Amino acid sequence: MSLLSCAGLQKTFPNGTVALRGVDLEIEPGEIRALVGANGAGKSTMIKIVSGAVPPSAGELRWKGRPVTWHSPRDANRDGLSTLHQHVELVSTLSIEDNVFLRDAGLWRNSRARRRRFVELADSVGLAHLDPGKPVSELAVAERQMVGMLQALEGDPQLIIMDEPTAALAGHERALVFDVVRRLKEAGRAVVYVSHLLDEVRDLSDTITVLRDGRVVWDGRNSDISDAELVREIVGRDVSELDHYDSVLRADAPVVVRAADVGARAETNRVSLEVRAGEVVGIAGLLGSGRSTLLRSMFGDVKRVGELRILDKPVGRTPAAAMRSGVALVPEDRVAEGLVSDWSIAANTSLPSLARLSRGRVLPKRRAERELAETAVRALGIRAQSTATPVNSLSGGNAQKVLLAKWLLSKPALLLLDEPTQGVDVGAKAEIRACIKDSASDGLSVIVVSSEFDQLLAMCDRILVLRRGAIVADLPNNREVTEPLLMALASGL
Amino acid sequence: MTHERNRMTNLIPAPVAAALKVKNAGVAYALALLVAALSVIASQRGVGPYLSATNTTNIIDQSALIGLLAITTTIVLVSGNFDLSIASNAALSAVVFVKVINAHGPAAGVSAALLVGLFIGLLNGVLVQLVGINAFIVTLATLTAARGAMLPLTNSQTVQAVGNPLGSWTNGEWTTPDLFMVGAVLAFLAAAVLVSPALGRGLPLAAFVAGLGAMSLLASTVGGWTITLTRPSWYMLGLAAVVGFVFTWTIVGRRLFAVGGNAVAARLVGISVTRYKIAPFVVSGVVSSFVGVLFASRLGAVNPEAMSGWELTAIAAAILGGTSLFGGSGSAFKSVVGALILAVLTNGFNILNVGSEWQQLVQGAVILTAAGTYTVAARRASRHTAPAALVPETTGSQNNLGVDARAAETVMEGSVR
Repeated sequence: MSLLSCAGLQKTFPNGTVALRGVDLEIEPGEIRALVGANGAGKSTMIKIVSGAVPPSAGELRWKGRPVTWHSPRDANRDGLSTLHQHVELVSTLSIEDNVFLRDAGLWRNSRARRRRFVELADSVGLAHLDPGKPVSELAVAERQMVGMLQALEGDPQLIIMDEPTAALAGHERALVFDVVRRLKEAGRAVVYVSHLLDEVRDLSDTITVLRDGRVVWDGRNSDISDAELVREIVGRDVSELDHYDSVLRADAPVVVRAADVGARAETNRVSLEVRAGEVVGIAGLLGSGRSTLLRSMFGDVKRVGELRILDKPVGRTPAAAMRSGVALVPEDRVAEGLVSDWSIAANTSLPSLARLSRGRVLPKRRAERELAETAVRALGIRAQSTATPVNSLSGGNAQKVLLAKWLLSKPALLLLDEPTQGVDVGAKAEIRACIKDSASDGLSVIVVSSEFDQLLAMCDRILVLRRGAIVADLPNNREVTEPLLMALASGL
Repeated sequence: MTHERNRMTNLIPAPVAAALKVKNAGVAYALALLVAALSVIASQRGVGPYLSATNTTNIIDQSALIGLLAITTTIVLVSGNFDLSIASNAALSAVVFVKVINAHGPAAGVSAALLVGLFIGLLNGVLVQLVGINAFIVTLATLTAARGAMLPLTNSQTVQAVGNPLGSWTNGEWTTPDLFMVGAVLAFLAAAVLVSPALGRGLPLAAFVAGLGAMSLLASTVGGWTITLTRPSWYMLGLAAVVGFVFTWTIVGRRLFAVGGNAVAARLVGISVTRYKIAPFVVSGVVSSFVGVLFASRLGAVNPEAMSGWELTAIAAAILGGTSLFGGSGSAFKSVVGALILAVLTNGFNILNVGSEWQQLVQGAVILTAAGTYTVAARRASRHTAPAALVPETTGSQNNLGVDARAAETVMEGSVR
């Protein structure tokens, strides 16, 4: 009998997004099941439904053959299903032991019985070296991940869902996670392993389920599918679906940006690259590849080491100095980092250019701001009533365009874009790409980081593949570069 | 034709029209309602007109010192911080002021007092922003310490100033020149500027402004219009005007609101967040000590308990004025109106001779009502607008922190309960 069986799971969110369109899934005891798929395939929604965090819109969940309705993760947990989330949320002021037993309903803290249970639990998965009394605030990322693992394993669950458990970990720390997963299998537990990193998936899993656009497109034994087929199933579409961009960059375009061994001071990875005038360089990297950190170190938002030059002048090491050197950064999280959400389009757009738009560099000229914002609205096709509309009333795509416009209109020499097309609809993606290419044709150098490889193929002159902080491939964008190729390079297959 | 009409509608600029909406000027309308209610009750009880010139001057004077503190509190709140030390700072500065003028004269007294405020403000700012201690804790500590420093300075007794050292600078009233005349002069100047080739906005607008000037001039000859207020009241209005100008019309104001509204976004456009977080504390410190000087020279004496609890009244005034405790929004003028509401309540209780034992209860209720109204209004507004921008359009995305965080919250809720 299956441990967990899902039949026809569907999920439509209140904003109209359809995340799952009927998913069937069977998990057997003692099985390591990999759940893979590109961004937006529905993996996260699937995890949330199965773990009880959100209810499905339609479909049925059966646990050990009996239909169940879980109203919260606690319900699922009580039945023996536990989830290890990608970002492990721990109470950093409490000890390891307190965190592991956070769900415990018992009355006594620091009891001897509880300590005994902790030691047994840690022993069973080879984590006996953890000091139960140590505060979580003193732990490194990898150790926190292990504490999260113990928390998920506490209560002896039959099925553990792991969402990207190794994304934040280095090589030998990954081996620890693999070891835990294999021990769980030996003990007859089932594991659903969600990961972007296909080399891990191939190593670890018995069976693989591939999700694409909210549907299961492949389901079977790990040994029954080749690497190439797996990547093709994940990517899915014909390459012709999005127009492949043919570089029109002239061969004699001068090099504008030179980076030599650039990286964040806190990390060990260093990257060297060159960008020419009018060139759009794509960085293809999956979660945890160090793609955002690289951009942030170039912009000076995290401490930078190495040499970064624009037109042979060194680039300043703080955001303000980097802006003076002509660098602009469009951050990934537009709500938290990009926009002041209750401000108007005009006030957001003018923020980086405010001094230029002011009388005596002190008194902002409202009319100049409005005109700047009107330029932005026209150039990017921002759909809004007026430039006085607050950005928090715009759709995701239009808010992203405001963020892009804000930096384009500050007239940079190098534009750094972090996931510019993430979370916006197809039409907006095309408009954003067009706008980036337009600016590049005026001589702007662009570095764009994305995990949506089709977007990179549709706008870049050259694509660098970043894996675990290092550039593993430097490809001129032509018809031989395909999404499966990029996926294979980025995921380490 | 359409051009002409645009020009005419531009005479009432859109921002002014927006500012007059209930959503934005609610606190002013609340004050008007309160005053109207008190006027009716006062006339019914036959205690004379509530809004007599004397009583109006009185109310504004009673709100002046709290109003000054409310304005600086607004600056600190807009930057996303909190300053509890203002009243203790003012009291300590007042003591220092009295001690130093008795020995070295007024100039030295004022300077010493302002230096005390500068020091406390700078200390607050550095501890909060550079050391990273929570603003509530830092300013609670400086509140306690500043109050404590007064005891050895005063031997726990009231200190007296000799004579009236600052004379008319801090006490007494000041009357404006004839405002009709001032208006006429300004209108003629504006008209001249408008027809100058540099601006060249054209004759119709200039003629209209000049016409207003002429009417004003006529009114001036028929009978003047002057306003008389106490000096502290003028200082409050002056500071409100300066801060209001900086908030609304300068880059400094824009950046301050950006830092308070979204510090990360501000950092990523190259704004020095450190500077914009420390400066409000310094301004707050200096203005607080100025309030101390005004207080001391009004009474000629300071006791160790002077101005206790004023910081909370100032914060209450700022909240009445719609200032957000989370930073990024606030208005100096509305905070002044908030201070006026509190003063009118006090004054109303006294004039109408209603039991003063009810006064604080009513004040508390008023503050809660205001805060509740703002919160509910904000929630409504965000319910109308937020989903579009805050909910991602594709939900499967691994990198969307909003969704992940919500899921994590659910997990934590489930596990702790």
